[in-house]
Amino acid sequence: MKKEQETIFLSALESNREKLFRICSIYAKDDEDAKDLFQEVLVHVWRSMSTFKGNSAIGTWMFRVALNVCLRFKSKHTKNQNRFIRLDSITVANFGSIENSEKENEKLNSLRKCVKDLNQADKAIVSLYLEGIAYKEIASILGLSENHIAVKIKRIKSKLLNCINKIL
Amino acid sequence: MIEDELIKIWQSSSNQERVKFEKSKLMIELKSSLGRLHRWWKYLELVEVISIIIGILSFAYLVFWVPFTTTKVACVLIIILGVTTLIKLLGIKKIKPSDLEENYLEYLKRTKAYLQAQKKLLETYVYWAVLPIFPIMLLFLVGFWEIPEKRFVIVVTYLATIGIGIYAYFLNKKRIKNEIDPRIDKVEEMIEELKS
Repeated sequence: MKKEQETIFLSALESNREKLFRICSIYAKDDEDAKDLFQEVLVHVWRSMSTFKGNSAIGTWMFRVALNVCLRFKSKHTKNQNRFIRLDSITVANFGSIENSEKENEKLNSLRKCVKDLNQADKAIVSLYLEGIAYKEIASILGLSENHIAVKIKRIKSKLLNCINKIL
Repeated sequence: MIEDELIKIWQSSSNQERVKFEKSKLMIELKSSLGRLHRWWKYLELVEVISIIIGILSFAYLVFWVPFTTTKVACVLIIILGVTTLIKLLGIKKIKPSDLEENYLEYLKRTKAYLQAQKKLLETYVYWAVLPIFPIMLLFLVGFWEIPEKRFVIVVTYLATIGIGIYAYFLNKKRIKNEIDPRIDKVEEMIEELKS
């Protein structure tokens, strides 16, 4: 049973690691913070694995746990920095602009900046939307209706486009 | 820039940052981290329980040891007060949101309820813990009044009790104002933002 859980966890992590890291980076104040938060998320995901019932896709479930860990982290940010766990087996490699053109990097940095400027609720919604998650799943992760999500995403996209266009 | 481009740009960050992990090492680290966390939580719980048991046993011992009836009654009342405090603290712990698999809105609502319960406990602390301790301490000390050389100590002890009570009251007020209220406001704001 434990072995099976381990296999499911590792394979889900394999396919969602970058997505989870990007969600963490939205809530973190810098790269180091994002790495710490990502490790915290992994520990909590693994800890909750025994309660995963398979009612949703494992990826969706992971995002749900990740968002709640990020929220918890955010509300206690100044107090519990020293409680982070160090996992040496995880590395985040920065490739800089090797594969992206300068223009693309500029766009990406502007988008990141604009996302960080959003309020907490919009951040949660947009972090899932930008990962290409379906509205139905976003609605289930956040506890809102699909229509509500669609309306909010439309508003957030327009905010983001305005913000990016101002920067570029 | 067209809207769909946002997703493409966002996901292009995979070309910049890649998360790598060694599967077997990761599992060993995760298991040992969780083991450490569990041990730490168990240790904290044990310290709490042991301190309360020591407190209760000390006062239970005093009930048989002290010759004054009023002090005996006070000891029993202190034990009752200790147990009440423990029950109230455990009640708060029960509603602490620990299930990370709930949806975001539900998690926020639970966090708000937990913080409000904490706030209520600290606000009412003065009525069920601080104020009752004053007459109980008076009852505890009054028996010793018969010993003239102890009178000065009795007065100092009672004044110290009042001082500690007042300090605890203001400390709790400060905790509510600086720690709990801002967190409740933040959570409420997030719930509103999500619903709007």
